[in-house]
Amino acid sequence: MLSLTAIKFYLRSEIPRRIDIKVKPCIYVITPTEYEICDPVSKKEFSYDEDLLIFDKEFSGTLLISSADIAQGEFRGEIYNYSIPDKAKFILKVYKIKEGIREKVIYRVYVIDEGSKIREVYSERLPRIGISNKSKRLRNIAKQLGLDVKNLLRLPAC
Amino acid sequence: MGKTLFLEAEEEMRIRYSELKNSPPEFFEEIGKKLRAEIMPKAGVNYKIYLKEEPKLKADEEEIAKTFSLCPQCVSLLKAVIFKRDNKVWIRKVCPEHGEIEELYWGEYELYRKFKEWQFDGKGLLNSHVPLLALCPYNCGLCPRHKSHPALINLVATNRCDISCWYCFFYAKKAGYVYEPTLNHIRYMLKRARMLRPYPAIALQITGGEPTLREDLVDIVRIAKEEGYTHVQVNTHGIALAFNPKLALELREAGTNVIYMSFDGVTPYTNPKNHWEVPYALENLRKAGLGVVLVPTLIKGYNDHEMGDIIRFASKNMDIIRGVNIQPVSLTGRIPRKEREKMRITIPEVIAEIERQTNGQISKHDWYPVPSVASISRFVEAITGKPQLTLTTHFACGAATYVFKEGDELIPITRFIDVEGLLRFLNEKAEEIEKGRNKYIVMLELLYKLRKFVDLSKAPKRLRRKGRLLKHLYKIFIRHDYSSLGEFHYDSLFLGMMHFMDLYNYDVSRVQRCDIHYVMPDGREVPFCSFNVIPEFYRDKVQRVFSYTLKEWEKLSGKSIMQQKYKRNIRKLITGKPYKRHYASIIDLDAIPYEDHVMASKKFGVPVVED
Repeated sequence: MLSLTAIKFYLRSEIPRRIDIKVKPCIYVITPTEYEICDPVSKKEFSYDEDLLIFDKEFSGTLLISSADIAQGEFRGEIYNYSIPDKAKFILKVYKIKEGIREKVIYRVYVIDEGSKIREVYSERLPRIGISNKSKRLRNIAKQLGLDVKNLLRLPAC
Repeated sequence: MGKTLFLEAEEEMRIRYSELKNSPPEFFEEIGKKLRAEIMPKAGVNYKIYLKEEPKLKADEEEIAKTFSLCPQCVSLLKAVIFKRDNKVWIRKVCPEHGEIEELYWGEYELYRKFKEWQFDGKGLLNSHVPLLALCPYNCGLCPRHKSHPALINLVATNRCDISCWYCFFYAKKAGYVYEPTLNHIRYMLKRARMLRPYPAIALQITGGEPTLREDLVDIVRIAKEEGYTHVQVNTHGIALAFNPKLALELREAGTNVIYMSFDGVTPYTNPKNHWEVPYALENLRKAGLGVVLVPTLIKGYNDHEMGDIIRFASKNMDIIRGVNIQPVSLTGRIPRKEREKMRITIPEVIAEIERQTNGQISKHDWYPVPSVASISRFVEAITGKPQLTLTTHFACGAATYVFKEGDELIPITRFIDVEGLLRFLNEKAEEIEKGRNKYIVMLELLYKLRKFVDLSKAPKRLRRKGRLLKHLYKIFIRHDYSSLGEFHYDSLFLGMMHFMDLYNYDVSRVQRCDIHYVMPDGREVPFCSFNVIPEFYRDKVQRVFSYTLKEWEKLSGKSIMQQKYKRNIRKLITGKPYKRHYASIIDLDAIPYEDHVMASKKFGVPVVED
């Protein structure tokens, strides 16, 4: 079974710039007919020894937050591991972000290559998505990847 | 790329660079791709990660922030704490192998607090040139973590130099090889930096070594222009320009915008590098119509007492000197703490010295951190919808102001424009447009409120006449017509400072925001403070791979490295009219005996010849 990692974290720092952010992942497994929530099979505390590079890969290009930022302030993180069922064709990773009072989401989509490898095919970048609405972005994802837009717009809450 | 291209007997990887003489730019892409992973520093081999050790604070210390830093001995990654003590800002880190290291980070806490309010982070890069394989700063290239697009790209045209400054370990003779990329190789590097998005590099500094030693320097400027660089500057000691008026003219005609000239003081004691040649270089640049920025490297107790004189020297030559860009010293090599304390000077201390030495004409309130001007870019970007060059360095990296000359008086821009109010207003308005407010209504509001930010009674007379100042501001902010910037800048002097880091005060959060980068021969771009502060991973390591041996170079060029060394004829230089004219009102020329001139030059490492 394939596995995927996601990170839940809270970061608050003042210098060099003010950051107050809570990020929570939500993973959906997409099969030709279903869109279902995938729960983590394991969780662990974030470790400076093992997880900094994983954090950078996950967030430096999407949230523009990297390990150097987390060193600067109050940080709590958890690493979530997911087992991806064999039936999955795509995986939708949703990061729910709370920055102060503002709430946003970013989407990342992975495709399962011949059932053996997970490859990222779509990733959003927080400064770029700006205020554009979620449904417009989901329609765009559906169009790009040939997914059923209705299902994508009716994702179960997690 | 065959195996024969590498010198196999060498301990380190090295290309037979002489065989690439006629290779096209695309060939260097192929080589770069193959070598990049090999050249990158390796965890556990070249450095270690020690993030368990938390530096402790003492009773009289107050924590400001935490960060990552490096061990000055083994360049391992360490946790560091930035803290306040005695109204100064310090950094402390603990290496399990080499113990505790404490260094002055910023000389005044109040100014640090003011500057931090202006932090503005960039939008990062949409296409970085290296994958994420290691932690910062061991992954430079630029990597996806990098927060700023390039504002200035440096190209090392050669590591040869015709003077041997005692503190420099970079030049060819000491390095033992010649790094001098071919024109096609340079074109490849410049193209790579132009590929960066969302905002490609548009400003280039050609540096060295001493770039004027390259006979094809003018061709390099032409290539830069062909590749789309709108601003090209040449970083030099100016000696060649002092003796070769044709070079100044050719550089200007090829498209050079400004000469970035080392100038560490106004006397031979403080500036033994080029004290005697600077007046002649200025004279030739004046004739060629090519502007100059003076670049003093400042060392406490050595030349910091001459800041006022340097600014006065610049203001007396404002027809050709566009600015002074001060660089507080970056301490390279292993230096004991007491020695470091003697030399260390930081931005707030330089600002305080300038205030004291200009009798308050330029005060500490006139300076703003580099990212403060990001509000202007943000506003223009919101109005035009096009990405703008935005200066988003760390607030602690640099400071700047503008001064205008009126008679003997210097009037900082902050005395007649409410810079802080205007920048905050522009930032607010940009945010409103980003949230969907009609941009034309915002522009009308700006038009209405613009004069609120200007106190004409305090402005230089020239700008007061016929409402010129408001007209300039209107053109810049409402019409985005920057043609009037030239006229606005007339009779003004840019004063800036950039404090490049060293291993003692290294702060990873600063290097991640760096917007002054170097193009590398393997096609990467590396931030200034990775390139120069960890040369064993970046500058020296990669340049060596793409270099000639000294013998190879001498054979190819038919020249001898040693014979190229500059010898100074002081007697001739100090009796010339340009020398006397430029320094007469700044220093007492008769008070410096000829023997002192000679000793200063020789002590520095430049031999002196008689007629």
